[in-house]
Amino acid sequence: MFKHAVSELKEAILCLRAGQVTLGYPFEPHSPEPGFRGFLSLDPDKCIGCGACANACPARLISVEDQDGHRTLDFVLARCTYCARCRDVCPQQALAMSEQFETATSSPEDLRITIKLRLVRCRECGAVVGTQRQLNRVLNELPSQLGLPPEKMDWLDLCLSCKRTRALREGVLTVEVRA
Amino acid sequence: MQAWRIREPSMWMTEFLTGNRKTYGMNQIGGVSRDLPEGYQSRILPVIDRIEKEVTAVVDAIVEDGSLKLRLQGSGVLSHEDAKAICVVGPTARGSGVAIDARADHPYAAYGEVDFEVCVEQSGDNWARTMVRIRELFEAIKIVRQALAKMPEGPVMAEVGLIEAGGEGVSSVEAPRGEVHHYALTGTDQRPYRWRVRAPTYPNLQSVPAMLKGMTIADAPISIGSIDPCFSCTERGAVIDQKSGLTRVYTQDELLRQFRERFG
Repeated sequence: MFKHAVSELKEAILCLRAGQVTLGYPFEPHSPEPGFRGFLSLDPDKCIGCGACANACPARLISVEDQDGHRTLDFVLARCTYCARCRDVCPQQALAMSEQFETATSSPEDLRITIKLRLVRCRECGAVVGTQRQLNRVLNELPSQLGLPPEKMDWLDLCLSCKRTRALREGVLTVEVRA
Repeated sequence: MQAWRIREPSMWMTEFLTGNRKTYGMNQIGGVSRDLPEGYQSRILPVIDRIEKEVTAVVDAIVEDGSLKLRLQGSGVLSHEDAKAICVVGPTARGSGVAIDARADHPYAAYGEVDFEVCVEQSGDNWARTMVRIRELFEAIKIVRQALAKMPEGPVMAEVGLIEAGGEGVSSVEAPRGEVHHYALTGTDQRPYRWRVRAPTYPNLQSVPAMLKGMTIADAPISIGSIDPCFSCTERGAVIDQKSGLTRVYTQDELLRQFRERFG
């Protein structure tokens, strides 16, 4: 009985000494630790629509669809596990993990990001080459890297197969056929 | 409630270390995707020192608490024989005198390089399972201290390359609730073809009828709670059509029929 009373007294002291520990949140803002991975944010000006994020996403929540002259990237973030692999592979640094953690919503549409980018089709066969922005990036970077004048880049809007055909025709690429 | 208060700094620490409180999202094939942030040692040590001190105070206060003892001792008894027959794992098994712990039995990761005790209690009641968990808390702190002292330098990711289809892998890891088994069969597109998880609640939940036999209804909540059940872990899956957003739950018969049609 005595031991029990001592125990209860100790418990009471523990509770009283702790005092108030609850935070003022949500009436006061609560900022997460640096490096926190919150809700995904996409910079629409930077995205070139390459789809590297869709390839890396373990939850496969990013879909890439080419239709009616546009490429649509659809992020269904209700299934996001916040692993940030999409951000890590993005060649444009267009994706970032924000500090936003208040994602509770009654509408799944709030957890969705969609971006539509103009497509470029092969001028010979009409197959999809890529988005206009992908081509722009190549046009901006490749000539200086290869020391080529930009007017030499007129093969950019050809699809892979038409590029091959042209390279063979112009003798840039030769194929050895073995018997 | 005091236990929750003491736990909270460890959640903030986890957020600092991994970028999130719970969904660490850093395990990848070949290692982890992020290294520990700068100054992690000086951040972790004060937190675990404080947790150790505060838990000691709580344990010191509650072990002689008569009402707590009356509530936990002799209730929800799982005998040593039943524990073995039902194949329970983790603290549920160790509370009934079954000394199994994947970390000690088949050490993985760095568990072979650290020294810790497998905490076993004999009485098999709710009190025993509580004591196992409390003692394991101190063992966990001991393990963290050793790991920090022995932490090697070096890359956190290994180059894995392409993974062949048809490869199989099985692993057993000691999770807080007990052994968790993962089985994976690799597919042709760098994705798993089949992946099966057996979470510890699956076997542990089977022991509840044995614990509750002959007990009062009032003993049910604490006995079920004493295995720390994760019911969502025993769920198997939901099918969501990404295009329409429709969720569908398959019945057992449907699943069996589909599986047999596909795989013979």
